[in-house]
Amino acid sequence: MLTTIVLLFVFAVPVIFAVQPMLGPRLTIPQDTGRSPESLKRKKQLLYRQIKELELEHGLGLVPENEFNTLRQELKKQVSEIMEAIRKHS
Amino acid sequence: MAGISGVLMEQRNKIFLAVSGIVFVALFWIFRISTEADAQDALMISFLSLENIEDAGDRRVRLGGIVDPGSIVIQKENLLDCNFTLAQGSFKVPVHYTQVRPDLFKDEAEVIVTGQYVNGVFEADELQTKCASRYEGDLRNESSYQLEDLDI
Amino acid sequence: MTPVAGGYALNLALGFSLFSIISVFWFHYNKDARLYFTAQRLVLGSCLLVGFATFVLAAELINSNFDIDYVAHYTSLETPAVYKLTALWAGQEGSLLFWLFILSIYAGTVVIQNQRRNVNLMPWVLVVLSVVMGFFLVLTNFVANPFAPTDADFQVMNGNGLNPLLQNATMAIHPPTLYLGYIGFTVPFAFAIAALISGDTGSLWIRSVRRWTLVTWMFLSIGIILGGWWAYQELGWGGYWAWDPVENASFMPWLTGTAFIHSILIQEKRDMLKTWNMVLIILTFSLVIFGTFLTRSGVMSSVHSFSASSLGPLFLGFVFFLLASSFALLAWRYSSLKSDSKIQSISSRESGFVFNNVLFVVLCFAVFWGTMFPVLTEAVQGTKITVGPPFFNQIVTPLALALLLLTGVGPLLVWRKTSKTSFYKNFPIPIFIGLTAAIVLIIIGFGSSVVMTASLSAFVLAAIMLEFGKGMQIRKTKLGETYSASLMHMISRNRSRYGGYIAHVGIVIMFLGFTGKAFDQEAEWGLRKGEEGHLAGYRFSLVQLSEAERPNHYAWIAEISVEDIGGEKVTSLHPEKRVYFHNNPNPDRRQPHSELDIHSTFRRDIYSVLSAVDTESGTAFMKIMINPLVRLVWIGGIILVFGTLISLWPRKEAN
Repeated sequence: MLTTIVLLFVFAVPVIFAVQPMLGPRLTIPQDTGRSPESLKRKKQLLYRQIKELELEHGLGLVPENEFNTLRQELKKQVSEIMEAIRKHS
Repeated sequence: MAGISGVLMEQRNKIFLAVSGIVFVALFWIFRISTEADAQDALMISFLSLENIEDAGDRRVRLGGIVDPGSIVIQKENLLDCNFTLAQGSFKVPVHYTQVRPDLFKDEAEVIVTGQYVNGVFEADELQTKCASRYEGDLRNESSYQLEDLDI
Repeated sequence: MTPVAGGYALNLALGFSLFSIISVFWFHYNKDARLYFTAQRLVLGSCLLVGFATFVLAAELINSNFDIDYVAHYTSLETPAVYKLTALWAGQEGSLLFWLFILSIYAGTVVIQNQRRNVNLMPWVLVVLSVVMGFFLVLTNFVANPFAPTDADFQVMNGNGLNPLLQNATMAIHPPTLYLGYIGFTVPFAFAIAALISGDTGSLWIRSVRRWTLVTWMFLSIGIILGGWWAYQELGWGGYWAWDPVENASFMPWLTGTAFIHSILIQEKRDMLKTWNMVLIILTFSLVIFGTFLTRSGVMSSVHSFSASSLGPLFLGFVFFLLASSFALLAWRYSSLKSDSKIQSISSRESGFVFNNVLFVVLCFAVFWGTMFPVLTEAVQGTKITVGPPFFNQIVTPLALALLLLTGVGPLLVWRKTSKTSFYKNFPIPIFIGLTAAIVLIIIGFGSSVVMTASLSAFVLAAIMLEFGKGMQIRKTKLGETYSASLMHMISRNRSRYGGYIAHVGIVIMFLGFTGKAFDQEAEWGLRKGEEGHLAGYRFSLVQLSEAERPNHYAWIAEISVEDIGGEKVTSLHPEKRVYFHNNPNPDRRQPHSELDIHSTFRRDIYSVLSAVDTESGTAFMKIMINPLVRLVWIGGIILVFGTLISLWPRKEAN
């Protein structure tokens, strides 16, 4: 008897757990447009990292000079755009 | 502009050629080793069933089967010198082997031997036992037996 | 009662997997996020249920419930508790459940990590995870149920017990690590397929799976190396790799997986090779399932294989399903995978990566070819023709050497195009060092294969050292750091890069270890007390032959004194011949076992096996092997894992 109850419990819990969201009101997920402050921050971090890496590789002589300049310009421009967007949000 | 993209195309063609070259050479090498007669003798071994043992001629071949129960005879003077009979259904072949035997070699062990068939005796230079990574067999109707009792 | 619960848990888990797939598709059509969250929870629930089932089986194994067929077959009352637990993966049914259990851990972690992240990819990731879990759940529910009751028509009082060979610490660790490595590839595969279905084929999925892939790859490497180490220490044939089909089954996904961890770098940095990365991960995962098929189907007579079973066709079918559906998706999204950036020069770093990838894939094909050769020849000619290590070595060596060369060339190449100036700046020192090594080795009189491997290794090591040196120099001049501080900071700031280089050093050291194989020597003697044998400039004499009775075995112990050519004592070796279950009245049931003794140094291992003892005459029959440089293989392996760990270690997110 006890085992049956325990087992029912063991199996009922995951079922309830799984269908529980269906009992609430209808939801829509905010689609990830890449404009949320969080994703902007993540992008900024990523760009910083890319710049650092570019500088290292340039120092090691693995990136040609003109390429380094254009890429760095490009990355810096992207960073300032994102900074701007973050400022607007806050 | 056309000049730049022309240079680009040329470089891309070079890469394409180099990649296909590597693939082609490698495949050719694999194919050659797999089919060339000399290589076949040195690198490959036919796996014969015991009934076709006469086909072996003087080639080095591989045989598989069960060690016929009770057939293992180990020389007194040289414990590495061993004779046994390999069985595959009703077909049997006597085997002679003079190197270190694997620990799992015993009656009814599943073995693979490699060697030459000379005058009705298979002179093996390699003896592998099948590793029992499983431990199957029928369950037994016995209430208690010791670990020692276990069939390997 | 409880074993039944295990079975029910597996039933329910299968239901959960199916419903999660349905929920995702439904969500796709009506955009109701409740369905998406339900799907997430269904996958989580399925993972928990599998965990519960595994727990039940483990408990039944420990409690020796012989009413369950699996428990009765693989354990007995006398099996030590630890090995009752490891019996979980000793047999077919249990190991399938264990597969599922590991997959559940991975799948559960993915879901929890991404509850609100990666919204575009995650629904489809759930589908792929559920399909793979569903496949294994179908197997454990309907084909190989680990909870099936014993079919004997009598009450089983004691089980058959676990094979003594598997009652060993390494064998308790090696299969789970290999599994962790194997199964982990499901996650990057799931993300790749999700990227294809959703059309979000940018670098997002790559970034999400980079660390996963490295962790998985590391476990697979550890599993493979441990397997070799176990074979070397325990089996007594003096080698660590035999090109056995099951070894190859783990090596093939390792090769394509290695290609993958290199080529995703290019996609991250240059947005290139997108299609190729898809192909690689699809191949890798298919090879994982194919490898599982090789070990399960009985197609290969391998030392590892389980007995022939009905699982073979199912696995093969699943592999074909995976390949067909993945490549169909790939074809459908092909145009979106086209990259704007193109490789600009054959001398660029990008093309170095391309060559590395091609070589890895060709190498994988070579191993595949050799593994399937017996099956192919049997189908075509009717005779099974087997190929052994010489065949593989012939095919693999040139490809492996080419890869070794690239390991050195790669770091020296410049993005886009290596100009003449950069070439003259980067290449001369490593080339000089490589050539010097070659000349010295030729003068000493080594053969071509050793000269090639060793001089290439020198070249690669020099190239890597140069990279480290340059990086340190920059920090030193810019920031005024000491050399040691700059080394530490440089590595910790650029873990992926320098961790990778350290892993390369490990590989090079392993390669050096492999060359030792060419100089292996062995001899077999029957020696009586005081007699001696000579091998490779060493004198081996039998000092004494003693006997000992220990709790579960009887042992003959040879004491062999080893002296070098000058009469200097090198070491004493004590190999043993043991007989387990020696008290058994039935001699057939006694289990002989050779306990090796290895004297290991950097230069060579002296490897001794006591193969037989003639008690009457007091003769010890022994096999002695001299295996040069084997230790380098293990040290290289440790460095490889260490480098990978550095590479994947997360860093603090600082601004």
